[in-house]
Amino acid sequence: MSRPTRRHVLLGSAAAVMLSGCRSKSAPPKTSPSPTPSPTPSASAPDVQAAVLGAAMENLLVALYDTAISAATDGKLGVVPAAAVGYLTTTRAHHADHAQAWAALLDQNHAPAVDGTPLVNADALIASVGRVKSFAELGPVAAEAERVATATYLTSITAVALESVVTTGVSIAPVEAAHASAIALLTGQAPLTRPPAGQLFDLRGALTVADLVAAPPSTVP
Amino acid sequence: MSSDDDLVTLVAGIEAAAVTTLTALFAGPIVTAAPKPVGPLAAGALASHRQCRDALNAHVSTPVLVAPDGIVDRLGLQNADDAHELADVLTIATRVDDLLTQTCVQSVPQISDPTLRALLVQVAAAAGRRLGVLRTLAAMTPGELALALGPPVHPTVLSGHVGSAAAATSFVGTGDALSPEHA
Repeated sequence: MSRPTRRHVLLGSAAAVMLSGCRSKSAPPKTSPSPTPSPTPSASAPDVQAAVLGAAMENLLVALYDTAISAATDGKLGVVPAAAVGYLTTTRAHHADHAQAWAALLDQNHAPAVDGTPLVNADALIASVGRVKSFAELGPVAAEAERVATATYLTSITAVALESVVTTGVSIAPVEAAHASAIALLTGQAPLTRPPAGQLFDLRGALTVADLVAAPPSTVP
Repeated sequence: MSSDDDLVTLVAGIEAAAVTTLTALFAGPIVTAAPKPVGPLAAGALASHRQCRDALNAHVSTPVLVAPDGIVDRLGLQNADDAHELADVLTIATRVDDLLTQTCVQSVPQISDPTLRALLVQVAAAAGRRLGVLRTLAAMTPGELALALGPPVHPTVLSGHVGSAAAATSFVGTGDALSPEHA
């Protein structure tokens, strides 16, 4: 077995504190001290991974739309259609709400906050947004980011136990999917292409814990 | 408390109702006379509903091919024949997907089988994808529909609210979600 990375240690610590403050829906009522050891951090890792991934991803999507809005404001996208302004501002606000929901969930469970965009491909994504010259060019980039966000939720929440994590993820995923199809429609792409065989939604590229970079020192417990 | 099978059967019933109603509506004169790109979008939405219905039916004890009256009534589909214009059709299709996502959001936390949970969250996302299209189309005036939907799309003729219409809120609620007693 490979040596735990700093990321795994952080997630394990976060998992421990999260579980200490929150109980799974399916767990039995706690009427007396359990004779068995407390759940190990690895047992609860999917809950924390889903929450941390959600927070990091939403922060990144906010950064994506901030970059796009700045580009539009600075005239780098040429003439910006009214529909583009409507899409960018509304969608950015949705992602800010999602980020806030994950942050609150982590905070309620005494888990470390996720600052910034600690995802390995974050800089590349923002750089790609910085290169677009029009709203039409932004469309495929944003649509793919929204699709991957949806796929990440669909994948991560399947394995979690905490009801609060499940509920948060499943109430966000369809909204991201709607963003993806709307921006596709508005920029001339096919918004309802058939997903890969055996899937109802294209799950390719879903992020995992391997896409997280080490948290900044300030979040070390 | 509802069983996993009850909950997946409920969602299969909603999809069955969607397929039956939208097959008739989308093949009718309102959609066939709509601006050209609307037809393929409607066909894509219907194919998505069929795929979801079939996937759900593959996992339930009793597959649902004809939606129960309780579901049809709850979705407001009993008067679908009264649709007179494209806006009416879009309203019906949007309501189906709106209640479908809400029902999935309410049901998923109650599902214990990981395979069924994965199935239902994908159904919710598929509905979200359709909603993004339906709400965007519904936000367009007939003039915008005719002018903007190319291909290629010309967003310059679309007003700001068209761009912001895809998702009504930041989170899917459960206020209008269906329960197994409707099935």
